[in-house]
Amino acid sequence: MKKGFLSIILHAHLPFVHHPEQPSPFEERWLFEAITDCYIPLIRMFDRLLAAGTRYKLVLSLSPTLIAMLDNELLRERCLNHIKQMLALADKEMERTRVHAPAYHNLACMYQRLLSDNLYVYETCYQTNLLNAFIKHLEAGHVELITSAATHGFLPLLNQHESAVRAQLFAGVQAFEQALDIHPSGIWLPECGYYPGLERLLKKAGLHYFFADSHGILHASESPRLGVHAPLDCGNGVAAFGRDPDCSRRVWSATEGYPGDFDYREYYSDIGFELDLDYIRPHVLEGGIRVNTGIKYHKVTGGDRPKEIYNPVAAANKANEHAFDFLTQRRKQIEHLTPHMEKPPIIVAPYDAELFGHWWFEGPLWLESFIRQADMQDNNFELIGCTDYLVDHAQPMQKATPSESSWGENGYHRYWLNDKNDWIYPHLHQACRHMEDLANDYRNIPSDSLMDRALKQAARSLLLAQASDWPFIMKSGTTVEYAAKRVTDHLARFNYLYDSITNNRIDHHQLSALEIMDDIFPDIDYHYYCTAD
Amino acid sequence: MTRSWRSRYSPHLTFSSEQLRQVGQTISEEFSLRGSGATVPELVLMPVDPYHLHAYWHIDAGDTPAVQKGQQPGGKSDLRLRIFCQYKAQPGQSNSEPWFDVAVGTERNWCDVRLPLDNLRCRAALGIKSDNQPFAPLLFSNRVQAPKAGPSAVRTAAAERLKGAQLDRPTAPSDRPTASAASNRYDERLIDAIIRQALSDQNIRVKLKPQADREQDCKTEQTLIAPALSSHTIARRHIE
Repeated sequence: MKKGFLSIILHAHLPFVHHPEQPSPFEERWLFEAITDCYIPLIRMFDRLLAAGTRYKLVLSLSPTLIAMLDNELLRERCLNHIKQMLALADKEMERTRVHAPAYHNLACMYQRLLSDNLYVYETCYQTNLLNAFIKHLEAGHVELITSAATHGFLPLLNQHESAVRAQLFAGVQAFEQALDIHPSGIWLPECGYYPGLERLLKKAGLHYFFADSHGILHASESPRLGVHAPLDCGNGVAAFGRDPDCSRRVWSATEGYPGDFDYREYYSDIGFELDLDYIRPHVLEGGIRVNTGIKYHKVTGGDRPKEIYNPVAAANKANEHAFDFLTQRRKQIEHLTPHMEKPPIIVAPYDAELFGHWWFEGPLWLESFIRQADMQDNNFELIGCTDYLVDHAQPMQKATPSESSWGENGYHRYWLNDKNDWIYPHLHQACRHMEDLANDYRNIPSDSLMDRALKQAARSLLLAQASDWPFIMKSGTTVEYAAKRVTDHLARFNYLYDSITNNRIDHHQLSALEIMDDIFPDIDYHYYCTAD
Repeated sequence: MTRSWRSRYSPHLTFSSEQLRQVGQTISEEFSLRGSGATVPELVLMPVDPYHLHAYWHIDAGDTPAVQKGQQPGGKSDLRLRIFCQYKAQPGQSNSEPWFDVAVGTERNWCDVRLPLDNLRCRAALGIKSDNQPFAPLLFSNRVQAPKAGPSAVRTAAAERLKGAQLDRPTAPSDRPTASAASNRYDERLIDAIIRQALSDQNIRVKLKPQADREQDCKTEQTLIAPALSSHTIARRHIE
């Protein structure tokens, strides 16, 4: 019997970016890069662990927008092209380095092999649909899949209208069920954003647990007897797991975290910015605008020294060392916690999935090494899914309501509500009020009628405008113009549909065009917005 | 070859990319966002953190002359945001609802409000307060609850023993980290920003600046908080 448990949560999310109206939109590369750098490496890790018979379980939250994009025919086709173009560049790099830069030739060969393998996994193993891979490992019993809010709306700032939160939750659960054919037991609340009372809607949506940041648990209505190492019952049976701060720091911290090690690959050294433009031009944006290509030859190095050449063997060794360190820390933590606990403690370690492989190139290797080492007999903890912990070890749970919180700046909502993005909220709130009016007034419209289609499209437009990514980008200062345009475009589309519906002059042609461009949540139920009985 | 697109709901209709783009552009132009968003008079409060609320409002056109009448040189006005805080002073005492006023200009329709305590349940009224005249409310807000800034008062012995694992408490306004301190501590926001930025391929390093003190713009003109509240460390700022 293990003394305690560790639950690793990987939250995979990207905003819905889908532009059939453009030939090769830059922002769709977010998905392609996440697929090649993060999701395929993680899937290859799952495949290797399965083949080795390693005993483990982790939780993977797939946001409904990411699910929709992974399943989208156009994006899958474009992603395949992207991988092939990257492979073409890697081939070209092998030739270039053989003659002109022999010091980099081995690395060029490494990228060529890596990209060939990625292409094989994406195209041949999973037929360009990575959802197949996640379902495979779900069925193998090693991955617990959970959902998130429909478009990753930051719920504490949307609950001016409860219907907005209801729609985010219910549409998120519905999209997840339709894509994966299972009901999610838990949810990753976007940005860990929780407010007291949310558990009521979570229960209605059939969800059994969520995650709160550490202080959300520690500042609960009743002091948590077991700290963040046991879930709380919010009073209605919905459980709140708390994030373990030390696990976060070991991976996230810019100063103490593993990813900053000098032997690891430097993200900001990329041939897209370093090689002659004429050479790299076919692989960057139109007009010769340089972008990252994913081929990077240097390591972090440290200090002000010139960047040294990346050594994948040294980096792999370091990833193993860091995995062992993480394992040792967790063992000590379990030893420390167990005497004070009335039930086996659970350490909850959530991370953005996109950290692994993209920003932290060695992240999947670190995770795989940790999982393999954790599967040793003399280990005092076991990797577990949250549902298994709730069923087998959590009862009885202390009843208390977590406090309002997020995992953002200083633990609350400032990053999503500040002078860079506050202008969006009056528009979002008004659109929600209008959507409620539509849902109430047209609640008995026959399904599949033109009016029904317009109402569904209005709901899609509103949901897409509510994504937490847009205010986040506006604050962080990257691609601000795109984020602002997405909010204003979706709200304009919503306003257009509201006007069309209320004046009973729906243009079939224009509605169809909007359905193609914002092709998400095909069976969305606009009745989520009904406020009347 | 020009590619065409079909709606899954109307497969007989086909669109070129250019046609889709034109539909999107036409709608964006004809239904672009106008004004602040609100079309009905309203005052909305939103919690930001334990010590801050965000307020926005839309004043009815009929009330605009009254608001403008109170406008003074230099952008000052008689427009006030009155914040009511539900507060239980002591056990056995009845709940009180002390309030304080925040002077707001007419040039914008939002304000950040600094709260004296965390975990307050608040509502607000927007109105006009002229010299020697009682406050004349124009709009009333929703009620909101600001988050808690610390743990519940009752702490069990078991929780004390686990304290070693309880890190990263959020900061109150008085101990908010400076820019240099913030850069030395674990900051998930920074890391998250870098990841997202990395995915955006912009390759521009994020340099986070200290949070601007926006509430300085919304000057607390009067502090009319009940004694029970004022006994706490409150950022009382008597301006002008």
